[in-house]
Amino acid sequence: MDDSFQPDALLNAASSSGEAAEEIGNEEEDEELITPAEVLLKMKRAWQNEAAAPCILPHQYEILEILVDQIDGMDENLARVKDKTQLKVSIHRAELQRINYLTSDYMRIRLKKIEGNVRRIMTQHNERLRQGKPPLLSEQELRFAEKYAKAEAQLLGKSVLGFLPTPVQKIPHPEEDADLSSVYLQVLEDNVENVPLPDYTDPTAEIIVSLERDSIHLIPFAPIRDHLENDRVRLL
Amino acid sequence: MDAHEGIADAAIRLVQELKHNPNIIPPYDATLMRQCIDTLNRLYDQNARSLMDPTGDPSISPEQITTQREQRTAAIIYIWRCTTAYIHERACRIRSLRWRFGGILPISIRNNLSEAEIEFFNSYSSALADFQSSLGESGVNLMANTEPPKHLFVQVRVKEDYGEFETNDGNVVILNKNSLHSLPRQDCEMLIRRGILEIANP
Repeated sequence: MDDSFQPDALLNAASSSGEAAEEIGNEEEDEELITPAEVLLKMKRAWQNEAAAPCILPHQYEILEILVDQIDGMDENLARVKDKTQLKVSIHRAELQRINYLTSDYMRIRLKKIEGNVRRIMTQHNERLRQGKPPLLSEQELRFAEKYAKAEAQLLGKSVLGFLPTPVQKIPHPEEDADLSSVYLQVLEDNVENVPLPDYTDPTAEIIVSLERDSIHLIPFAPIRDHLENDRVRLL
Repeated sequence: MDAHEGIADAAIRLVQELKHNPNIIPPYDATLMRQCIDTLNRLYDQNARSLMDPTGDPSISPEQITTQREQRTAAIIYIWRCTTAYIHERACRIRSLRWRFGGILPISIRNNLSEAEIEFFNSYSSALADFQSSLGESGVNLMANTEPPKHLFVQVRVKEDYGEFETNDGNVVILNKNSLHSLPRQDCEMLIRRGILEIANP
């Protein structure tokens, strides 16, 4: 459990959220989270997108790490409050747990996706780096992916592949058909480019879906992938 | 081999073993695995021989030989897929064990795994542990907070004697069998998963 926090964690958290974090017993929830509120909103959105997307999205670990440090600091603060029966303490603790759930679940979802198709995701990650796009995996995730890929290769090698003729010693990595699945999305900005979809009743025609602000669509994932990466839409 | 038996029967049985036992990890079937590997190697050798010496058997026409080779190749790929699928599916289940029991496997489950699988479990464990400690000042615990929090405290019933238990905020409770407690949810999550506590009013 999260009980062994170093005192430094407090300093970091306090400096990034102003001195408000110091006064947990007296301050209102909202005041304390003025700066972090945006961080939290971004994290929520990242988590929701990740949970709804059929494939792994570029990582948001900058936000995540801020929050994780913040959680450490707040925990520390809560531990110092003498009167644990105060209502404020309980409210804070509940909020803290929600944030904790948010960050943990975000990491869990991503790890599960990595495990699901580690080789393919690592190739995609390297591909993106070459093209100068934002990386798919964070440093920590990449390290995990490498270790996992190695462990999996060893398992397969020692169980089957090692005993087979060389040409058959391949590790299967299924193609991703994320592009085929559909997602619910909401448009967040004005003037988002329209999306052309093939019209299945007429092979030569296209249906143009106009993405107006705040409208909600059920749409194939592939054509909106770029919109999603640029935060112009969010998944539901 | 029996005349009625197909070349890939062992491979199919491997996959079926997992399919028929969806929720547990059945014992690692080294015998069937061995059979699959042997069959595959035999087919491969036959193909290799027929390629080296295309006019080997004069009683069969060259077209027939080609067809035979293609069929063997198809069988090889089929067996390859079944065996790797078997290992892969077991690996998935082994991963879920790590999330349920933490780094130590119960003996009853451990006995069902092959040596390579135990190694896999250990390296998966350590990869996950490294990941968790690489974040934040003192690491994160991904095993906690697995459910969206609804209440700060949960009512739990103790299912087996556990003894003293200290919550995060420093209170000590004694968990005796059949007693009821109201505990911070995050503290007792692991105990619930291990079956020592159960939620009293779900």
